[in-house]
Amino acid sequence: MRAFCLAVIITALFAGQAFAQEYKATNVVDMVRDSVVSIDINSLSVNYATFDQSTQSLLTRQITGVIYTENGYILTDSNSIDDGIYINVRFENGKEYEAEFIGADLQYGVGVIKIDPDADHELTPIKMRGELYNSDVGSLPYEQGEPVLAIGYSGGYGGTVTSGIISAIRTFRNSRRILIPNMIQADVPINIGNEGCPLFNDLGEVIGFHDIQGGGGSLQRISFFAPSWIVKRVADEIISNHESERPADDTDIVWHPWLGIQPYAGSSGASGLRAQSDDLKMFFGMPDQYWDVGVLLNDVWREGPAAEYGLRRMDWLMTVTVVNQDENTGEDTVKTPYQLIKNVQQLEVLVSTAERGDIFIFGVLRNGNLFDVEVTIGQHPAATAYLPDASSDITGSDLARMSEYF
Amino acid sequence: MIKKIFVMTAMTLLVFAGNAFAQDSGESLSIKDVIRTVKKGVIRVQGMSISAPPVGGWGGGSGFVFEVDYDTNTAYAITNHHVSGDASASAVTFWDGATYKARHVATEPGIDICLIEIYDIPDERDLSDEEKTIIPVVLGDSDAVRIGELGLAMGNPGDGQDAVNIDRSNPYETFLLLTTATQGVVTGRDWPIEFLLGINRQNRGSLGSQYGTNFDYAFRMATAINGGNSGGPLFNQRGEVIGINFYGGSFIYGQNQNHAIPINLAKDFVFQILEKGKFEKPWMGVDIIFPSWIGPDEYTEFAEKYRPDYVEIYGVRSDSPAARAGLRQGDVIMSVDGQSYTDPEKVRLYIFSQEIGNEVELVIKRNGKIMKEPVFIEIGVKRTYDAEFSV
Repeated sequence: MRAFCLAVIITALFAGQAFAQEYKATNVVDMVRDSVVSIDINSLSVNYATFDQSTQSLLTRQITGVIYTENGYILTDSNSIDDGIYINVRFENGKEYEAEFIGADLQYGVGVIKIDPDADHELTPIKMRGELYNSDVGSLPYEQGEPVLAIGYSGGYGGTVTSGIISAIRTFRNSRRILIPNMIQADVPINIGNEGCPLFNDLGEVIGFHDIQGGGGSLQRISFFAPSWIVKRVADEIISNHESERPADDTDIVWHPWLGIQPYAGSSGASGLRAQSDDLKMFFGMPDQYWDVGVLLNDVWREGPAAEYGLRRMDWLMTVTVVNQDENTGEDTVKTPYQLIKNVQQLEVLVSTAERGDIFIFGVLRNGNLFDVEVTIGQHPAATAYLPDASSDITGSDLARMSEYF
Repeated sequence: MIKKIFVMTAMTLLVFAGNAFAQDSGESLSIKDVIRTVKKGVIRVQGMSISAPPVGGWGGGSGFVFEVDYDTNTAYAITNHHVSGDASASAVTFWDGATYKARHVATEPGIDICLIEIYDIPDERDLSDEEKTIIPVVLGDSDAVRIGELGLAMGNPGDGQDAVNIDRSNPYETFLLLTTATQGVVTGRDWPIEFLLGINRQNRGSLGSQYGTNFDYAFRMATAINGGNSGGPLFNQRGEVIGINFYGGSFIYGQNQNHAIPINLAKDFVFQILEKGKFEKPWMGVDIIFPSWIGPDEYTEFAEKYRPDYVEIYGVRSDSPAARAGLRQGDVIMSVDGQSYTDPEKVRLYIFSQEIGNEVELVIKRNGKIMKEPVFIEIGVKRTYDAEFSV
């Protein structure tokens, strides 16, 4: 009898313990509450008709940020944070600071501001998953169905916690039409004010930052989050550029890999890549062994790396090898081994995850001849146009057309 | 002995109490464990013909495979009638992008369920679950669902809409959100006719809607579904299908008010089809409408007060049980089995719940006089050529 009672108690204890070890949103919120801040960006309205400054009024935009480093760097959304005349940062415990604008990258949607914390106020930076891109979805630090939390300044209510699961992991274009591999789709409710809001996993680590809403907000609870590794890379570049002593130059721009090619998209219609390219391959008299490989170039950007290294429009890109050349030693290491190009997205993911100094060796089919072309990846010209003090000669129409190239 | 049983019970209770909040049974499965298996049974369904669906969006929908036959290389799947009911052939896409042809086997607009057969699936009988690309889902018991239980929906929302920030004219860009998983709790049960009435007035007309009229309740849940989720499964914590997502009411009622058809209705329908080759729908053979002097929508104070408690017979189908019993056009049904009805949909539902061969007792008013003898009608089987709205 006693043994039974003991068994009951032990079982009860174990049941309780097992339950306690399970994911609890409150535990995660306790861990990260001090790392999420509410940001008010106060700016003056501009009357573009008269430029009359006497009728200006104060506009306040409310967005979310996270503490990135102990010395006060804060990550947030990039949109219009540079024109704030006064950026106010408020913590959950009520402490407020004025923040300084450090830098922003509009294409990746990452903004950095900085505060000088009081001596008695110890900042708790977030923990962030910073693993680089991995083409194997199975080895990602997040998985479909995982419980996630978003904390943000929803509708002006600071520190609002919303929960959900990871709905899916997809490769998509963000709001600036930059392809982001393995974006996180989650069903957490997201509202105005959640711009720049972090997505936490069950360990309290940030795995993504809010990017766009599905259907322009017309679909229920479909939100996309940029994976943290890409945000971390961009933020680190912005901060190191800011902290470097030397005068600013072109290398201070955040890295945007670009080849400057536009694949043939075919006429509009849902028939998709395969049907279009099958017709084209018949038209080009493609040999049978190349039937299911190859991407046709519709155009090459006139000053882009692809044009510079000899690619032309109406070339077929059949195979690709990516080699990284070390800047200092000049040594080559194979980053992506030889592979057939089966579709456009495969190529675009390789481009969007390329590092400085990567060389793309393409197997090109032109006029029935197969030969190799080496293209060193370059900086996206639009990256300079988005700098705050841009002195670039790129026009607005160029920028619009450029979004169709990668 | 009694003490022993008591202790055992106490033990069980304690264990269950510890787990009660996390899940309903002793099994411990997290949502991601559930998804790993069940996503291989969730499909995208594209009907080959386009018709205007009354609920959901244009274009395709979702569905789920519940039976696989490796000998004939076919699989059976369930989707909504309003997804592929009008299509004789469909294209089915799985989680990994593999697309197969499918044939429409049977459809039932009254419960908004369609059974399709998928052809030429790969033979995977010797493979492990991890290697398989198609794993049929387990059908659960919707009567056992408790309010507050987890509801996990899977499907491809945004089908036919701008789901993401893409250029629809560019075929290189995918716009499908295949195997999206969303979660919430089952928040209640509704009789969905009331909201179908609101959005579907034109289709219903005076003769009643063809769609979604033959179930007595639908689950209301906080799980987010969008156009394109139609026909997709609603899983419980154990990964069993408890419902079929069919209607997102949030755009009318507010946030997180979506609806799913209980799976037990689909089970009845589908297994009758698979075993007998046909679905026998209980039927009397009359077309019934609201009393002619008052429309279904005129809920004025006057109408509420003087609302008649009967339904009218608009027509009698030839050679039907009702015609054999002598019912005529213009007769008024005062009561069915002693119960008076003001709404033809409730009569439809009552007849649908009857066994074939049962007799129902109708009190009839003809030419302004209530007939002395009630009319007994033996419930028959609805014929394929009878209009969907006949009861």
